[in-house]
Amino acid sequence: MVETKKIAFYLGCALPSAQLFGEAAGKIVLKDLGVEPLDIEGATCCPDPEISRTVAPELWVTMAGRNIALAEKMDVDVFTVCNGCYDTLTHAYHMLSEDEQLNRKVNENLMKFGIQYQGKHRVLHAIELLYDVIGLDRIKKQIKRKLTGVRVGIQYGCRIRLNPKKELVRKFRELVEILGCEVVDLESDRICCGVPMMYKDQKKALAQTKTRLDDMVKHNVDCIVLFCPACYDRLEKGQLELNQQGGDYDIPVFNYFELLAYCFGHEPDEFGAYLHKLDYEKIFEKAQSGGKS
Amino acid sequence: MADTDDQKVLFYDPELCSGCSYCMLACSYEHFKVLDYELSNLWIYPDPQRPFYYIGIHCSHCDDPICKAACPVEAISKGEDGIVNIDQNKCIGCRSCNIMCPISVPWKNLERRVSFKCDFCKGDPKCAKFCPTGAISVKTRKEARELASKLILKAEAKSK
Repeated sequence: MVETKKIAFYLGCALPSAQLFGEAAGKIVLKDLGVEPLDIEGATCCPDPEISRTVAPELWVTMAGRNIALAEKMDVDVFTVCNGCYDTLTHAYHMLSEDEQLNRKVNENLMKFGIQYQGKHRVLHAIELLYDVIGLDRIKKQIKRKLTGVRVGIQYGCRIRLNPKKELVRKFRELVEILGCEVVDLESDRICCGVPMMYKDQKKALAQTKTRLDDMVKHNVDCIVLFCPACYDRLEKGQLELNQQGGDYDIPVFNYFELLAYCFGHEPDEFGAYLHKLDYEKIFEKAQSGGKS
Repeated sequence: MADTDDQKVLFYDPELCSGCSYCMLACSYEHFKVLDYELSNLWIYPDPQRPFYYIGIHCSHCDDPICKAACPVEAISKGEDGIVNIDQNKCIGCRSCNIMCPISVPWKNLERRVSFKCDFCKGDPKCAKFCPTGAISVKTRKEARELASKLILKAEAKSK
């Protein structure tokens, strides 16, 4: 195992603005695991691997290169929880490493900011950081209480399937399993949460989210766990929107770091779980009662 | 013309598709500079027979394209690279190609009054480039045929 003492935490857009509990829990958990997460000063939107990359590819790769270069300035690897940010940063990393002409052009632009993209450090997903760098054994040693009897549905998100060799889906499932909960595998695990449809057709997006949520309800899922803040946004807001239309959805959604922090013995208030818009407390109550709700 | 086995085609893998439909938006942006499902040259639909699966409909750039044969004004051609294109300057919007294609790939743009279809984005299809799961990819026709056969066998085994 490679010992990583410090790592840059690329927060992306949603975590430091709308999902503070994800950022806070991540920092708490990593400190417990002996890893110091560093903020990247001046980091911007990744930018997103869909619209920005489609509409302005050169600006997209320059901004992504700048974000990586800012982390490189601190001489550390960088990790992110967001599947979209991960896709953008790894894509840009490979493009800038393989295309000399593009690399020169991007670096000419970055010189204006006094930074250079070198490609010396790795871009990791939080799954890779936890599973490959820190390791399951080290995580298991920190677990003080488990989510016994809690039925957890995993929202993997689209983009972590892009590189099947990295096996991020399997690794994420194992990371959830060690929390002692009951992982509910569903056929709908593979479908999109609806985020990309929000750009054009909100009704279509909500219908997609509903398809996913209905399968969770059908299989008595207690809560949803994920890393991707975009999926978080859609699955939580989707429930609130559906409830406004007469639905009765109440499946709390958690960033994986939150559940890990709870299992490490931290109280939900420590990482700001009270900012959730759905009833999250019932999950921890169920865990404390050994699965009886 | 490119050897038919070596011709580059799109390959859609329903096992990987999450139904996000971003391919359709990327396609519309490439061709019309707007993000609009109505202006896409390929379509992703929920599979009515398999819950949580999708069907991708896209041009196969057939060896002997029936859309080309059906066009009364020879607006459709098959290039040296095997790509089947519609020349919108020649198209009269009669919809013969739309009707004759077995999967109705060519579609009529009612605003412009002519038909459109996949033009393979000059060899770099944006649907494949932006697919977040790798469900749409560029393969040779031979590779695509082999992969499709495997998928069919897998689906048949599953249904037994």
